[in-house]
Amino acid sequence: MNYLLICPGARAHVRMPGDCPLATVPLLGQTLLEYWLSHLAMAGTREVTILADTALAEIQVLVGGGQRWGLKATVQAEVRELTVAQATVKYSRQIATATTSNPVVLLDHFPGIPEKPLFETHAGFFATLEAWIPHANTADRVGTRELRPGIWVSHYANVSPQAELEAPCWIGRHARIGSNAIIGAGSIIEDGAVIDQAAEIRSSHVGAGTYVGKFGSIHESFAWGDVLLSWRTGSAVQVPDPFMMCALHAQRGPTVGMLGKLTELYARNKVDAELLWKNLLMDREG
Amino acid sequence: MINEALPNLWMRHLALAETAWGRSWLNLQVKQECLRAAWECHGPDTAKRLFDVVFSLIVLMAIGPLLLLIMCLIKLEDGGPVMFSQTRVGKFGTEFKMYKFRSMCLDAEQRLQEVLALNEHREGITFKLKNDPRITLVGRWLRKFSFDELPQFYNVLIGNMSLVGPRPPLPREVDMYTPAHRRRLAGQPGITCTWQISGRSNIDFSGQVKLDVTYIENRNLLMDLKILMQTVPAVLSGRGAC
Repeated sequence: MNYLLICPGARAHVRMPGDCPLATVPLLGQTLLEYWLSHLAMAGTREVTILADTALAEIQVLVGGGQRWGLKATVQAEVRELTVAQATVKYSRQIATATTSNPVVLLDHFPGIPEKPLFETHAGFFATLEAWIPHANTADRVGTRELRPGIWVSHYANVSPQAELEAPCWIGRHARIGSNAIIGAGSIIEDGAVIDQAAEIRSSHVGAGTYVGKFGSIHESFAWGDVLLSWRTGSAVQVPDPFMMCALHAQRGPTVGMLGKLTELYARNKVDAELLWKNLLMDREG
Repeated sequence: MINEALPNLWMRHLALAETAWGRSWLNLQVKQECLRAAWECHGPDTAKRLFDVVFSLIVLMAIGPLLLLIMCLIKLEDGGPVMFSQTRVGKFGTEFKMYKFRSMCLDAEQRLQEVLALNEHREGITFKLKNDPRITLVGRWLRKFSFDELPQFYNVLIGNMSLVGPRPPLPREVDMYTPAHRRRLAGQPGITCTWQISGRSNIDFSGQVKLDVTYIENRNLLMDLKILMQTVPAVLSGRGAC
């Protein structure tokens, strides 16, 4: 059966780090799209069409042909974000009708918890992330372990023996937690983030590759690069001093310049180009 | 809240943060953190790839005469092609051509259905038959010492395999994988891995997946070197080879 996944465009109420497309933001080490593809593959789905109106190249690179999940995935460009009803009508031929579950899904929630929408408020977004912690370690995922009840640590994470971890919390791959740091209940430290010596994180989401400096204290916030955003009030501040908080890796911006446009053009036409190369320019294999 | 065990450090940090030069000094330390984080994220993979390229180049040059001898023997036996390329499944399910010396008769693929029923692996995902009637005389000798796998150093050189990593499965095997089995595709496939040195093909498929996932989760260059060193005696003794 063919499933349709609609990648959400921008949402006015929720800001994302570096204006990253919502479906490709790393949430507990994987993107929403990856969680959904994994969920559908486990449910026995063989074919998925992904509808996206932005960041096509990025989504194409992330999904590939779907081989990673053992399904056939195609990315379909749309000029704007379709609603579930519009997508159902437009792609009615591709989706099976005799089914109990709806084969058209808008990616605004994690699989299995449609009652917890992600992109309505910052507080709702954080609450959903926290609720997802016990479910994030899917059966096809490698290297995340429940160190103690409610404390999830991914492989290659470096946690100082002097650091204090309180359940529930999540520490991503290659994350580093310095000595005397406190990772309080409800904290999510994404892949490659560094929490330096004696820093304290409580009920917060520290984005991938974010550095939190020595003695830093982050409560009830999203720390994404140098932007600190309170999920309770929605107010945001840009931290000027890198030693307090910053992004460890330079953000790769959206496709700019001639080279960027060429790269995106190639990514969009990669499959056709490869077919052309195989059939016209190379000797046909027997 | 500041940890009470660190008051001196905290005071020093505050004093530095209050002056312009102190802030510059602290920002400089962040640059170091950037380099350290970049190394921790990408360093091990880069080192592994570099090691793969250098090692496979040296091996291919060193065993050149042996490769020529094997080619001649296969050609002389039945006049068929020397090399055999097979579609295998690599990292995250991407397919690639894996090269081997041909150790079976020319119609081996057509005769596969005949021997599938004799599979010694109970789960039926992987295939193993000790006395496979399709193996040629030279092939039997090549397989005994795993010499048929030597062309895979070329796969390592061009980057679709690594020296150490889970063995790349066939697409028909992957079709039978459960989501949990697919975890063994999370790492770059390799010529040898932990299950080859700890009992080799005698381990059942679930055991292989467990060993492969453990390797992917804990791999480092030192572990790779240990596995490579343990592979040499295991291969030369012909222990457990299929």
